[in-house]
Amino acid sequence: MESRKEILALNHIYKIFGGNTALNNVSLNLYKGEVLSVVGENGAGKSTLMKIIAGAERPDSGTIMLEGENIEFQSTLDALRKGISIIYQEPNIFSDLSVIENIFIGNEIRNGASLSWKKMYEETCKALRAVDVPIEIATQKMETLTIGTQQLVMIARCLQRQCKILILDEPTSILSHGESEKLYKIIERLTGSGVSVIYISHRIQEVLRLSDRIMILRDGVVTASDIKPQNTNESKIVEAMSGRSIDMNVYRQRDLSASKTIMEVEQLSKDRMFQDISFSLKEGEVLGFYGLVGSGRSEMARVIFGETKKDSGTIKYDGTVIENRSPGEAIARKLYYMPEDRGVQGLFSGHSVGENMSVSFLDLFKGRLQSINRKKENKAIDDNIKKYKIKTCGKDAEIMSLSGGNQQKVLFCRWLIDTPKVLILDEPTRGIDIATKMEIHEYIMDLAKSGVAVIVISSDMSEIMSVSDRLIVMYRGKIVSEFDRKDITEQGVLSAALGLVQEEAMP
Amino acid sequence: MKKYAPKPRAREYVTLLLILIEVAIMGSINKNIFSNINISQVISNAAELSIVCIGMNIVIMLGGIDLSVGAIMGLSALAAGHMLQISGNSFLVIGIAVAVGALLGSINGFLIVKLKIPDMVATLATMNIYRAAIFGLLGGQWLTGLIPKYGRITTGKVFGVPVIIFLVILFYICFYWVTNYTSFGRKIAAVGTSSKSAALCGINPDFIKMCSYLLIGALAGVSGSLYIARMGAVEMQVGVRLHTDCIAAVVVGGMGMGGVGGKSTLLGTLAGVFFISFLRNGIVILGIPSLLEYFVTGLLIILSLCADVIVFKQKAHINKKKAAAIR
Repeated sequence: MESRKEILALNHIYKIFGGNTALNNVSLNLYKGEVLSVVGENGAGKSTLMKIIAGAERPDSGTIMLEGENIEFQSTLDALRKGISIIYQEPNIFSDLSVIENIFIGNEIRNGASLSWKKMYEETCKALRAVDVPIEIATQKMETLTIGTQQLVMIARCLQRQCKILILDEPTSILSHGESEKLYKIIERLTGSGVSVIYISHRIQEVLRLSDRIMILRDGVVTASDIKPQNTNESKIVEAMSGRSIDMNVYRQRDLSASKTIMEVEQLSKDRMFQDISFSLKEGEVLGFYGLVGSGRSEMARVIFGETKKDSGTIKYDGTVIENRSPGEAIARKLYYMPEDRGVQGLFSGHSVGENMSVSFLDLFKGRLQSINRKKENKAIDDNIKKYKIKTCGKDAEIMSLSGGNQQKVLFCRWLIDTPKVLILDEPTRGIDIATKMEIHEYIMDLAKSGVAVIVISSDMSEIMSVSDRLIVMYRGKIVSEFDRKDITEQGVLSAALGLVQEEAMP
Repeated sequence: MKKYAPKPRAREYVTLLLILIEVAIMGSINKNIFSNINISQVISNAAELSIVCIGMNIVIMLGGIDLSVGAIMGLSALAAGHMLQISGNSFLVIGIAVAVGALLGSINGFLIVKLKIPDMVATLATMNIYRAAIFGLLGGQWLTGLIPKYGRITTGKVFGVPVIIFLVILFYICFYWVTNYTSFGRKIAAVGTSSKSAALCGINPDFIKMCSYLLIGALAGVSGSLYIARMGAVEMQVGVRLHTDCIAAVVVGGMGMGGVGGKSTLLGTLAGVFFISFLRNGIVILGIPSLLEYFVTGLLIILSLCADVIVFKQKAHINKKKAAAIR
């Protein structure tokens, strides 16, 4: 490929969210008719980079050149018009509408005031043929198709709009093996006809097979930009993805040999979310769960907490087999869960810090006639605000007036009004500043020291490595590896999370 | 340490102010508005509405709505009327009204919470069914000659003040306490703000919602028993406009639809009740065609909601600026 023509170039892109640098001097070149894969672990900056290319975000600095021209996208529509299309992990489809309507949504062909269905049908057939889908489906409703075909229809939509650059964000994560194979073929055909593809995937084998070039991101920095698949292998890629510095000062050595097992989970399954999850948890232990987004960790936690029902398996708690049919029952057993999304699942906006903190244990403050003993409640709240150094102008302040980190602390304290036996923390420090993050890690260690069993679910490698006594890695709904603290290595964990380790017998 | 007590929000006092303005304007046109008899009349007529509005306040706070309250009140009144013909015992008469109301309310709750029928549709359907039941049971005639022993509550006066006002105030104090000082009330606020978050805090949102529909039914039952005492009869059109008035009163009292922020606004609601009642009264006294009454009620609902949305947006804007200034 000597005469290759550069179609897209990003030069020295910076993007900062809050205090976090999402992209740090990232440059990218894309040539006509090639497949460029972008890999990196959770939060490495892939999505942000793609959003910038697709016009959904604007860079803080840096330039974008499209076919040699300096451009600045105002919106995704703008990028779309210039020939850049993106297909997200979960395709945005209108399931009640037909394939034709989906392909032409917002881009209908008009004939005067009315729509020209004939022309649209013809165009649809042409686009469907290009992605190797039988044209008979053109008039079918989207929901009658398989997910794989839906995805191909989305690609057909991009083709119909004459896209020059197609971004595929983990397209195969929801596809079956056969569907994936078909997709690979289509991608090959597209590149043959001059379309450039940016391919994002966590499946390293797939990336090696499909790409012309591979680019690796880590913590917003490009660690390798021009790898040829023939010159590399899985372990080299994993090496380039990992290798960040991890703060090891948080962890405090404790002797757990004498503590008793508080919870034993056996063969827990829930249809397609997760299967055969077995693990045990000791008092005073911090058990980490790592995995890529969508590996079934949160779903598992929610089943244990009783928010959703399991399909099979048993949970042994404090020596007896239990079944939490509702969060209320789990709470009565002193098993608590802090949800991952503090905005939607956690906080009550418009209410005070105090009300947000005491909401789980209102019955604890019951006085005469069912009424709440405000004195008792206020004391508990004030104690927690002081103990966990929550920065607020008082317990009556509105919760949303606090910083993200302090909101997270309030959520965390919600479960510490009463002493937990088992505390499940789902992404305890997502999107908060470093200082507060460290503080929360400290508190986790304090809790563990006092004998509370803590499960930490996190997509943040450094977090999970710095607090865990033991680490379980999940991949596509299954436990693939378990590490003791002394055996944890970043590369080992990452390989397991990427599905590069074959399932083996657990020790 | 500063002592904290939940206070009504500023928005609720605005409604009180609105009543004063309203009465002042109408009074300047016709002085009869201020007559002792007229004011007593307005208060007695508002009693049923004000008690049902407590329930509506809670239902709307939880993001729901109940259109069948008028029909529930009618059926409860009917049940109480029939009971009165069998036995004069006041406890039995009021008891049956409340029981019927609670039962009908829990049917609504079941449809909405368990069968997941949208609240508006479910209560619209039951409103029609309940109303059909009223027609069927009355068989085209009025149930008349109802003089319950507790009738003095609705007609009696102490020092020229209608006794019923004390009952209404008692109810509002009770529920003010329930919503602000009990764990049940706090759970209502939690579910009203975010059902999802509440569920993850171990609160059962379905149970709370079920309770709210049962409660509004029971309160409509209380109103039903007051209705027969005031009117001495049950007619076909009993409570036919109660749901519109309820929603208008709650909305004028500062509760946005969908229960913005899960805050109880009982004082505002009570003020809203009297705002609506004086409006109705004024329209009659000033001789304005009653068609206009419907128009004005509808307009009021829209105006109140618009005003609240605009104020809410502006507040959010100011808060954003404040937050930016702190950073």
